Amino acid sequence: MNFCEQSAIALAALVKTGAATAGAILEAHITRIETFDPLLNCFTDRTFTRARAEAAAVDSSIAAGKATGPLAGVPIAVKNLFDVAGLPTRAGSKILRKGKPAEQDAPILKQLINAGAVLLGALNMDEFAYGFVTENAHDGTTRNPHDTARIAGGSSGGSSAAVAAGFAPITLGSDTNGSIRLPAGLCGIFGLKPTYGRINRHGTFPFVDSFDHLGPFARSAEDLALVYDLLQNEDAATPSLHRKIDSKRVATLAGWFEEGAAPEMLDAVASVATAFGASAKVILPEAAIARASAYCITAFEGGQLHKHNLIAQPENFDPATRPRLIAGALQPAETIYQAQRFRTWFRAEALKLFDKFDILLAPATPCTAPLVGQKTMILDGKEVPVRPNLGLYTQPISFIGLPVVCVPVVSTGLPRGVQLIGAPASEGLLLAASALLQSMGTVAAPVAALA
Amino acid sequence: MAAEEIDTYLEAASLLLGLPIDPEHYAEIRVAFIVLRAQAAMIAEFSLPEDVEVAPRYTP
Repeated sequence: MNFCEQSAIALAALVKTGAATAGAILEAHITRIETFDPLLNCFTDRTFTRARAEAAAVDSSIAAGKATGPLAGVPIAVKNLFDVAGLPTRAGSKILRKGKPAEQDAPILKQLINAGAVLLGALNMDEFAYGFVTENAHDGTTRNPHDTARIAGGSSGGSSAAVAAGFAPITLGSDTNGSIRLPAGLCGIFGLKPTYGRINRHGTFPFVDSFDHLGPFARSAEDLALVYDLLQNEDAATPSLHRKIDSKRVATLAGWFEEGAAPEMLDAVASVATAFGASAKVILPEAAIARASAYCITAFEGGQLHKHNLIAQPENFDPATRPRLIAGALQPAETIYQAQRFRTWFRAEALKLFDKFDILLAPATPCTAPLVGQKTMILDGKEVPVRPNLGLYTQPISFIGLPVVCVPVVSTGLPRGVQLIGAPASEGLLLAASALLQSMGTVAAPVAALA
Repeated sequence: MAAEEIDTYLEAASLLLGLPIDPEHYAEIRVAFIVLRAQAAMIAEFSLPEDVEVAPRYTP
């Protein structure tokens, strides 16, 4: 059996029944990482010594007949903006990597370790989470396991590529403007951006306080639901995975969320709508202004957060990050004030849609994964820069904190992700919808073939 | 905002906020600022009802 192709739930079952040891599962994953990560560049820090100790502790517990958690012996890894005991929390930067090591794990990482997980290390990202490409000037580019000439997306590119590559069945990332949904879509895996405020962000490096979310990546809807359940305390997603989905309450977002999308992305959305039997289309009004508002607030808050270092050591920033942070910090207060007022209006408009619908569909990205180093792409017949435009369809949604599961739609060619967007606190329904699509064969996340 | 006005604004804002711009970085910051102003113009052009308040709330 190839342990690296198994789900987290399957691996934990093997460990709990004695069919495999946590140690053997860990070593299989370490071997795969050592073989293929030089090609992909997912890991910035490897914590294999710690992982071996954690796996040995799980195996000892099993041998002693003690209870183990639902992630017994499951290898995991986290974006390098999570505190990991003993490592500086670099957040993709040069500036922070010489800092004092974290004294303890971030609380949500600790929750997974307490459930029996084994930490493999920390993963690459765009500097300070400000980007959609994971082409990091300090740590290099993370490549897409499905086509290594292409980007994995970002900013949680290491987290998504590691799951797609079979380095770990579960990773954690963060999403401020699309940084879970976008790389999940480009790498062909599942990603969950929960409702704003749903998961404890303590022990992670911030970006934009009122947009920042944490969440998991996985290769199955069940794994995604299990990890979500472990990380939040407000309801139980796992027992509700077999919920019925009312086709009349599923709609495709038209207008902004279709304009500019490549035909294969619209096909992916259409195949999900067809699977649900949903034909309705709706408009989320003024999504372009929502995206503009998120763009300006992000640059402003990010610029203010890093202002002291932009003054003291601008030369140590990634050249892709620095100009946007400085320009952002220099914006007039009026823009930010009006953007925050618009946010109130836009949220109210979005919530009206949920009177009639439970799930809204939209592409995760306007196109499949661009090439590494690609500067421009064609959107709606126009040549536009890659970096700011990959998040066109994710930014308006995180702007108002709605929960989203990004699902990998089965297709020939490069991976393509579709956002299942729900009302606040409807993660259980979105996870059930993802499981239904998976059972129908509409979505799937096989491990990428690497050689 | 005309080209020279952008330069004037950036110079003044940089001074006012105490955030100096290295001349080597100026051109790329200027480009990023122009992109932001285009986004800001979309926000400014949208007419919001007067009673709409900012999204973040202070809770005592």
